[in-house]
Amino acid sequence: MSGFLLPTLTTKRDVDSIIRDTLDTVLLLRFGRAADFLCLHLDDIVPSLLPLFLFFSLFLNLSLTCCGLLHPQLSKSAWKVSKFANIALVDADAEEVQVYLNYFDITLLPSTVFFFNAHHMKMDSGTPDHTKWVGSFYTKQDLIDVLEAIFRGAMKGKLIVRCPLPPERIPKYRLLFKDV
Amino acid sequence: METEDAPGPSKMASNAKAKRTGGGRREFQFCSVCRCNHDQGNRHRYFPGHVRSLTTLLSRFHRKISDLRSFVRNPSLLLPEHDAALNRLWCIFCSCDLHETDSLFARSNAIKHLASSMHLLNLKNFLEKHGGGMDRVDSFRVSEADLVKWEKGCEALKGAVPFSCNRTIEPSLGSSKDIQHAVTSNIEENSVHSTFSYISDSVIPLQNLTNENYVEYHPKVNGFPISGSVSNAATSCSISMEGNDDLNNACIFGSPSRQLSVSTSTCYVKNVIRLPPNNSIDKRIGSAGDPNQALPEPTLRSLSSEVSQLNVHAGGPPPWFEISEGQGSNVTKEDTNTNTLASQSFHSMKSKELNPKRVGAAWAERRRAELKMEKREIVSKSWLPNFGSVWQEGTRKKSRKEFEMRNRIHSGNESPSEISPKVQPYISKRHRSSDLRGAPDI
Repeated sequence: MSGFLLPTLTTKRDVDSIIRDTLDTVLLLRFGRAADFLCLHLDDIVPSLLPLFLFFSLFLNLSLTCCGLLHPQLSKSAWKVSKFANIALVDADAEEVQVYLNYFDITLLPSTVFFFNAHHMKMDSGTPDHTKWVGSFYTKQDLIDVLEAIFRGAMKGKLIVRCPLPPERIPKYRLLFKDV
Repeated sequence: METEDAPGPSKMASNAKAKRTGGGRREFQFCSVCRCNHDQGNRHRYFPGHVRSLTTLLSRFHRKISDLRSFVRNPSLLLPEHDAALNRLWCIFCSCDLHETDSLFARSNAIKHLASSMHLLNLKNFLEKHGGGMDRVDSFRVSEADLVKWEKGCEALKGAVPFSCNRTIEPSLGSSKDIQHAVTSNIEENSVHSTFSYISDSVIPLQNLTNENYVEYHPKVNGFPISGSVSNAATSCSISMEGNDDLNNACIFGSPSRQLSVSTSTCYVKNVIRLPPNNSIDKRIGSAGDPNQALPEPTLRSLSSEVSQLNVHAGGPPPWFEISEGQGSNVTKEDTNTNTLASQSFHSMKSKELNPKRVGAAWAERRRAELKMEKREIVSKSWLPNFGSVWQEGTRKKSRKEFEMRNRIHSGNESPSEISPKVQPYISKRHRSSDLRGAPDI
């Protein structure tokens, strides 16, 4: 059930090709680190679901992204939304990926960016930044709802869509400009 | 089919329009401000043309009143050599002409009229009718306190100076030479009403630099400014400088690059629009202030020293459209592997007509065609024989078999790049047959 593998992209070429070749479906790119707790939360790695040796391996910063079993949330969501969405993980520490991090001005991890037909999709969720989703989702259903809203808006020709989630379920963050 | 009970759509539309326009066709009215006939009803006073005319009219009257105020503050005798025609004032509110022929003091009739209750009533009616702003009432009349002061001054003048029609009050020559300060000094100190009355309607010395672009703004008049620069800039400035009691809030907008040298009685407002800084955000902090938030804070990424300005916020080009040298149009096996998921989604979509107005529709069609071409190229490259084997002896089938044999050998060695077709020069049939004839019999 959770065997749906999520590709982890580490080169610019991979990221370019997946963006350019994903046609008529929403592409979700999660920029983060494999060992980051919130990234793992987004990927739904919960210690209670794992054997103890895997729990300790988290603290040893082993690469766990190759194992699809450790991404039940995203992987399950990926299977459910596979008809209209595509999910991929991007390693934020890779050198070639820094171009994307600078382009999207990603400073908080994990950050999720949405695409549709190689066009960057924006979402107005009440946060200061509409170009990406910062943080994780509370439940899988929230992720599915967001993807559905983006897909529906994109099919209607809208480049920016309104977030369907209530404000209390949207992660809050503060943007500072030069420490002000 | 229309019946009497149910009015048709056209009738309903006309009724609605009539209701909107206020119950049918209005009669034409004459607007004394604009000096034109109109059938706009009460809406006419909000029209920009009317507003403009009203502002011009009021400013002109204000100018005249400002001259008069100087006499209120400094009462003086009416001298016979003064042209009576210049001592006339047409009150636009009361529509009456105020002469000074029988008065003892300068502008006494006008002062008394402006202080009267009838003028106040007419003034209020005028402003109410034409929309001038009821807060400007005091600026077009003489208050009772000023009237009392003026009367006291007149009495004092009567007693102090013996009444003589031949007496002339000469202006101080020193100050009149300096036209920059002529009005300010003379009005406040001396009663140089003569010079003022001569120049009130024609030219007034400049108070401020005229090479500035400024707009006179009276916030008391509900903020309808004079569009563009004022025609008689100097006169408007003089109003703002002199009529301080009644124009406390008069402001002059200046160009942001320069400052106007105005008196302290006027305020100066810089018309500067501050744009938000366009720089990229340097630092962000995840907020943990929400107690109900169960999610941990996002991790702060270490920022590089050089922050690219061409990001998504600045509208820079997206990096996935920048094809590097290594990519090109060659699709290797690695590319196909990374595209498996994409192609799966691509293939899994039902072949139905999608909305042509969807985001990136043109790009999707183009990319789909490119992918198809790339697939064909992959197939054709492996199928077609090499260019060199076309010249070889034998049929095309034979050359194709040779090519396939070569491919099988080299695919086993896993070095396709090392395969180089054996290029031989072309030998025509005639030469080949002559060679065969020349060959010895075995």
